[in-house]
Amino acid sequence: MNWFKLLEHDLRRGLLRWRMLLVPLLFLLPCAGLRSLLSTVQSGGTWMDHMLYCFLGEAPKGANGELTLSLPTFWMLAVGGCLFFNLDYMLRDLTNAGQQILIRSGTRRGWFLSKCVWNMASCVEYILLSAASVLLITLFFGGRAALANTPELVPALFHNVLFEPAAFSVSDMLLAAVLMPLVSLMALSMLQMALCLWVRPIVSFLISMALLVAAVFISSPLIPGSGAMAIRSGALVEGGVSPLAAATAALLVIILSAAAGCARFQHTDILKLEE
Amino acid sequence: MKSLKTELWKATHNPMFYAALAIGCLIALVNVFENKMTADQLRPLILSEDHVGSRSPWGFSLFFLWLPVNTVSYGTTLYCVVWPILAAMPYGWSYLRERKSGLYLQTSVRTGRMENFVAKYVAVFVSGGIAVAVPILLNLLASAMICPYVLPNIMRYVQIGDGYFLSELYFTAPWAYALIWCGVVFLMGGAAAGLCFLVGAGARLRVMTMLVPFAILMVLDGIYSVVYERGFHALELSPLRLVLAVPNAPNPEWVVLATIVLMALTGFAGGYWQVVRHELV
Amino acid sequence: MEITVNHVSKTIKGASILEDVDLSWTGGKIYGLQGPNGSGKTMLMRLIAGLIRPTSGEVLIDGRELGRDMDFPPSVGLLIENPGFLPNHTGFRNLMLLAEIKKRITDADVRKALGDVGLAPNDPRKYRKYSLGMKQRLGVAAAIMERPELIVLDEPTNALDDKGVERICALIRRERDRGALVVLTCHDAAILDRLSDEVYTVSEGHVERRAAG
Repeated sequence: MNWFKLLEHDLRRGLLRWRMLLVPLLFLLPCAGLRSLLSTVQSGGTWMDHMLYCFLGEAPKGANGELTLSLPTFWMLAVGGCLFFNLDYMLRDLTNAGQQILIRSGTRRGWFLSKCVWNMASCVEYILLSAASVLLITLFFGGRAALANTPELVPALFHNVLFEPAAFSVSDMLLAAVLMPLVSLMALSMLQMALCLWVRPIVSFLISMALLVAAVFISSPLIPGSGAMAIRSGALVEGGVSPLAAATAALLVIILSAAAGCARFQHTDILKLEE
Repeated sequence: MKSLKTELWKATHNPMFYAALAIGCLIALVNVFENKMTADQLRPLILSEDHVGSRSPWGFSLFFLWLPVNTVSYGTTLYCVVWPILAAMPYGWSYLRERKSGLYLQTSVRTGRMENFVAKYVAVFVSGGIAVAVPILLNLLASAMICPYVLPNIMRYVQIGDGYFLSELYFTAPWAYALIWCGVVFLMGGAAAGLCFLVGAGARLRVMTMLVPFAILMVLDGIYSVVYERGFHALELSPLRLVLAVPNAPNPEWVVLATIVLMALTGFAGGYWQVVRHELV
Repeated sequence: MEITVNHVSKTIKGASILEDVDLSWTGGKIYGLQGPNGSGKTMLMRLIAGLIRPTSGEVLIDGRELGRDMDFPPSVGLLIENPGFLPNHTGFRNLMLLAEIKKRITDADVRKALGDVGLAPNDPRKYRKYSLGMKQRLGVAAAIMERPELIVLDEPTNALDDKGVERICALIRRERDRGALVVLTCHDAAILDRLSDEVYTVSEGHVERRAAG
């Protein structure tokens, strides 16, 4: 059996999805939200400003000391959107032609590993689409397609965390607003898919949401998702979550999810997966 | 309406209903443990407090710790995010499942499409409402049981004030307020669960149907966040946050009730279009 | 091909589905499974196809243990319960997608398989537009098109008209004569008796052989 054929099937079936057309709409909301902040600094903003805002997240608890609900909606939409889009592919595939493909693949491990590769590719697709969408929206709103940020926007953007205008280095910003969200999304998405082999997919999604909310409350690289918040990134903020530590933790989650999922799928009765 | 009785029985006697209740109660329990930690830290202060009747001089009370009020807790924040999923879990998927299995055709020819739809909508509404409201009520009782030294005082909470839902009642008869709020949450849960009908039998897996109310309310929350970013803080309009008694902006009675009615109407009208008007093929 | 089932039991959520099943089957024969609904016929088929694992006992395919030495039988065609296909593709495209995995057959073989079950290879209709009988025919075509050594067919004549039933019966016999091992269930006892070389009765998880009629 050609494993790459199996992977090709997964990539073709799993990446070309109508639902991905919703990504621009999802990222339109934070970009529209940023307009009011940009108007205070009288700037159209850059692509990087918008990306930072989409994956900004929430300042660590206690930074503002307010007794109000902390719910970074835009960040939840940006991160949760990918988890939502990726949730059902494995099960949907198994209820369609997947069973026929599975027996032709000859190996359960190969089938699940193909799904793992698809999962990570889907996260890459999501981030690329979001970056492209944000670029189009930035240009539409009169912003610039630049990798630099607007220094005057920093105190408003990093509210209660940074107080002075700052021009970050491009590599640090790419790390905080593109690469780390991607790695965190891969970890969360892999964990979610592996969990589907133990619990119902809806419960798996609830666990993902619980982890995202935990990331809002606990600033630790060990919580998958924490690294996806630019406002807490050690690359931009002193004392923030170390990108290296967060990436290592995410990598560990990816490997453990793939290994545990493979082991579990070896002994899973296929009929149970068909919802 | 015999089909209503049947649908209600099916809605409240299935594993997903029990699972939604269990998960909701688990989240409420997380909040109770957080409350326990907070109360233990403040115990010396609480015990040394001189009460004037049932009024607490500095404002600590069981009603401060209650899940829909204690907005700084993890349990509350998580509940605020996932309650639409909990509402849809018990029975929101039933139309899709029954259409795929052919059962819906069987019941429709026996009861009529409209009656069948209404029975199903009511069952979805009631089961969703129960799944969301019961953990909120249990949370109050469990907090009272686990932190007995935190009294159900009438308190002056910093956030709630003019413009908030029944704020006067909150300060005068908090138990009545709590029970009424549980009723409101029941209606919110029911109305949100009804949004599942918007997709009809369009989804392939029931998990995606169950996530429809969550997706809609999250996007609405995003839209209202854009509005808030533009300086509008006069009212809390996001249905997702209106499950909290004390959201960040005031939630007057008319906003809460209008939101419930709008959600319920949207779900019902969408369902009517998808379920009653569409051909059963 | 030889299939040996040694003392296999299967329990799901505390309910015993199969109990101490012993079988020894060889290629070039049709094995019919007969029994009431819920007796465990489909579970036995899933077990032989490697889709579920036995709680105890072993399934050997040519002496190699299923689940330990291999995940699935090396050459198997399957139709169990509802055939699952991609709803937005034609029948031909669906079969081509499956055929491309092993690359053992060409598109001409796929067209022939479609013709064998009575479907037009060039039918432009998507799978979701297929009637129940057409879906069933496509499922049979998917199971036989790669000329597998083991063919597992659960109620292959469901929803078919008389001509369709005859066509599928002839196909099954043809596959048997080619040397394939065919495992079959059918609610019509007459068809099952007519087709099978050996008939097994499945009842409350127990499997016993009876002489074919």
